[in-house]
Amino acid sequence: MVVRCCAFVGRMRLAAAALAAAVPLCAHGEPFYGADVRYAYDDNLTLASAAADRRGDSLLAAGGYVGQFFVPSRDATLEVSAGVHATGYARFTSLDEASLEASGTWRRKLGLGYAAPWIALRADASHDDYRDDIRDSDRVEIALVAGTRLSERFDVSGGLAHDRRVARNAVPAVPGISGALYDVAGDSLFVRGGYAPTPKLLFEASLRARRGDVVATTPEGLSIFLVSSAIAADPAFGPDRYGYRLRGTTTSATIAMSYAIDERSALNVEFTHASTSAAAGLDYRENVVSASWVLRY
Amino acid sequence: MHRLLPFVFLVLAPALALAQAPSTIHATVVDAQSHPVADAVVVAVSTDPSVMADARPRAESLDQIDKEFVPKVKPVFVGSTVAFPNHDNVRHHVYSFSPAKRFELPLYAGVPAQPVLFDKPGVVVLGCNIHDWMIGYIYVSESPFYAKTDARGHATIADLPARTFVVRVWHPQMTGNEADTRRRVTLAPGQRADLTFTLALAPEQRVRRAPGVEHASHY
Repeated sequence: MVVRCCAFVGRMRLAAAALAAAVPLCAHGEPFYGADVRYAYDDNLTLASAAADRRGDSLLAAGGYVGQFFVPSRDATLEVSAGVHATGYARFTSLDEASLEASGTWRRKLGLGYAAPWIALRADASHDDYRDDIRDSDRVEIALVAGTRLSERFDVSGGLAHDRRVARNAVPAVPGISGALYDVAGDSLFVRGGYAPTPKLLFEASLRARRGDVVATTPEGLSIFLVSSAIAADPAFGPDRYGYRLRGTTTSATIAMSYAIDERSALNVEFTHASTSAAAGLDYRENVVSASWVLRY
Repeated sequence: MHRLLPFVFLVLAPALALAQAPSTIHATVVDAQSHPVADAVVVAVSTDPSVMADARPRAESLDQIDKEFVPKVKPVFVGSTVAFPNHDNVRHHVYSFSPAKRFELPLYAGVPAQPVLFDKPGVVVLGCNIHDWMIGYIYVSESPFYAKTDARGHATIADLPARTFVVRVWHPQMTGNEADTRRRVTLAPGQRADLTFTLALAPEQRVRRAPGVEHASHY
């Protein structure tokens, strides 16, 4: 009992010290909030290789967040935020989801001025609740990014990221093989370039390569069965569909255009083409086109 | 003779008053499409240096409000000091790399203890190391006679002595040389001179403030 009491007091002291350290930061913090609405069409939600197995659908997503922006030193900033998001699909409503999200970005400039190079460490986490319980999961992505502004018009950045998704439900379809379909992890490399011909208009292009787990949904098949590390029934796309977790490499290219309505909001259109090479020669492609409105105050 | 004095006074007084009446330069600045240009600095430099004998530098102020410099363009007389009060809840770190004045105000909230002295004529471009989109300009004039155009492109330099002036215009987006805008104007006592300047302007160059594109992961 005494030991537990001491441990509790110790933890309280640690929390108090952390709080005391945070007070000077908070004194110079600034609250912010934001919202976004996104409409998208994904032509291969199943991430299937065969044309007959591909399922496309449109989705509408909306969300909001609140956060705090801190300036701990002349060249560093820290931004933390928490928010909610909801996504609804037109046809495959089992994919509808709501999520609680948290995000933190520490950014440091290596010099003075807008053109000084910078590095950033970003962590995103979410708790996702789908209508289809097998997809329920918790996600974390940590990214290390570096970038620089070449002029007022051009900027470039790049980095690496690790993503982890932990499934909350596992429904094995095959004895001896995991049913935790959405227990996935991956590592990515990415580069991005932005060109703003005017302060209102921004064009972006980015490339990303990710090596890790992917989940494809198809009818039963021996070749995919043999290379899968997890298998579960996936009724979201039909009664005879199964989800297979595979190792794969995805390369994706995105082009985007953003039009600033004012200094707080923008309209964006975006197109992403992703190509995945998975185990046993299973390849698939996915195209996503989206339009969104974003607000940040 | 004594009887004539009031008569002489009546005749000479208006003439003396007219001789000392201040003159005015009214400038209108437009772009190549004849649209009014705001935030242009109009400077009148007298060819007679003696008119500047009484000119004194001033204590000026340039605010930061909603993470912008307000006003965006601020003309000051050389030798003046400028304070940079921060009205935001977040700290700013104001700097300039301009040859006319290199300085840095390390991260601060409220009003920095010391204002900055601008002792060399020229254009000083301001930035904030925390908010890259923030940009402001201090135009340090060698002459105490200057004004900034309003939204209608109008600027008035009042209380000028009757002298010859070289008038020129500067704007952050002008593509030409400031010296090429020079006009010579000789003011008679109480005269108002109207000048129109046409500037070729480049599109505004500044770091975008609006939110951009956030990419979703695909896996």
